Amino acid sequence: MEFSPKEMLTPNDILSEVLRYTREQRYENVTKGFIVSQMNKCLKALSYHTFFTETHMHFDLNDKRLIDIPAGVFNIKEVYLFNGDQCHIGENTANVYWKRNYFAPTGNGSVSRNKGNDGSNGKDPFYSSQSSYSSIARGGSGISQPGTTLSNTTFFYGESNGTLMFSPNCSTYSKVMIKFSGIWQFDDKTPTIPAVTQEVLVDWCTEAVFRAKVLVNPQLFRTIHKDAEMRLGYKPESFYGSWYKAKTLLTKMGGKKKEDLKEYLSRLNS
Amino acid sequence: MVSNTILRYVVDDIAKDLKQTFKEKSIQKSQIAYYVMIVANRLKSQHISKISSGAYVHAFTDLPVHIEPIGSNPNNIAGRKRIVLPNAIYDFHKDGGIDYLSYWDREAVSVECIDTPEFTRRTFTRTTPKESERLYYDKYEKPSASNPYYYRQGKYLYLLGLECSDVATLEIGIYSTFDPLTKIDLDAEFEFPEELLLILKRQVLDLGRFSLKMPQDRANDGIDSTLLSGANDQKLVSVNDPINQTQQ
Repeated sequence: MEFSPKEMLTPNDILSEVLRYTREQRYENVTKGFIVSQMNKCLKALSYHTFFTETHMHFDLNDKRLIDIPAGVFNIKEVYLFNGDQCHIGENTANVYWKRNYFAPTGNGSVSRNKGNDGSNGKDPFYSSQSSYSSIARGGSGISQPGTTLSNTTFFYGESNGTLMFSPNCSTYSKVMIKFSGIWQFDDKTPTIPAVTQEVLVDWCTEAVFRAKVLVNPQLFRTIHKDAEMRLGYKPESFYGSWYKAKTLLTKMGGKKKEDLKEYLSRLNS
Repeated sequence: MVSNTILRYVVDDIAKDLKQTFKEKSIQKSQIAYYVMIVANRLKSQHISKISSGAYVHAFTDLPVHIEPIGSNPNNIAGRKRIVLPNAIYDFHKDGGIDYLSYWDREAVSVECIDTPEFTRRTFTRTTPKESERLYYDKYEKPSASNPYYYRQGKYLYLLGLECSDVATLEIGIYSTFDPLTKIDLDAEFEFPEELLLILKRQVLDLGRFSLKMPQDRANDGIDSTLLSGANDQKLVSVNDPINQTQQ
């Protein structure tokens, strides 16, 4: 890895600064959980804006081949089927493709609004008898034939309402590995926060706490809150705030560094 | 600075100033002690709320957590974990009379030299029954054994987050009021700010003066009361007098 895990921060590292700046050591106006929740919110916002972090998770494939997307992740990037304990992409895995309109909430499903049978689009690879792509993959001629039988060799899934529904032929595998964008869950003692986000997290949380305190004493905290708001520069967004700097740094983060970060954070899921 | 005197000296001093040291005195020593207590409580509470200091914190350990059994008293909530405040406390804003509340494993091996002291690891956060509803909306704020809360109702502190744990005792630091008069030990240390003794004395003298004056006016003993007692009718006090200066 290009960075030491010791450089990662815990929520307490951020708290130690925020509590000092906001004079909330006694948690009289906000709770500790409120501030930690704000850290999570900030990292989520950064993740939505920059996709700076990816994580992968392993799931057991059940009889109905349904998987609920866990909280905190979004934007499914890659899905692989595999058997055994380890997922080695390209060695013991099978690619799984997203199939629009595949709907199987009970395990048995169909493809809605299938365009494969109207003669104009005979290239749906998920239908064995009409797929030119899948037949090519199987060494066939690539000539599509109309049909309605789902492919046995092309694995696919549909997504609806936070549930991933895998095609029947996926049951030949027992596990699924999915790569997501998204944010992990915080733990007080586990260092999971990249150091590059330290400043923006401190500013984000400080601004949030002062926003809550403005209502307690508008005269005292209104000006201080404005200072914190400018320092962060999120709403309204400015080029001088820590938000913009963090966004820039994360966007420009090298691929190797991103991979290392993903690897480190994904290990926390296992 | 905590005074290094005892209550007896303060009371005797004031009794002498009020000339109430003879046998048939109008104001008993216990009454002066009572005056001192009520004035001292007021001044001390102002002092504590203004100054961040641990000088007047009383810490208690091994306070038992218990659950009140179901009874006939509707004012006594049963089935919830709580502790009894070990002493009366000043009623500051947001229960500021409680300095801290924590629990820790007394049998754990002490590692204070290299790690966080045990008693600071699990401190409770103050809430109220209504405010606590919101806490359960967020997984990071939700009360739990690692993130416990308390709310005060009278002399009880109810605990949130320890429902599924077997924590038996707590530690608490509080700002205690002076003991009630019936428990006062005149020879015990008088925990009162040294710098406020002057104001205390003057305010008690005012109370004594008032007390000395009133009986003669009100008593119908057939004596011409045209001439008042030796006490002054009126005491003019400047608005800038320290007595009129609130500490907050």
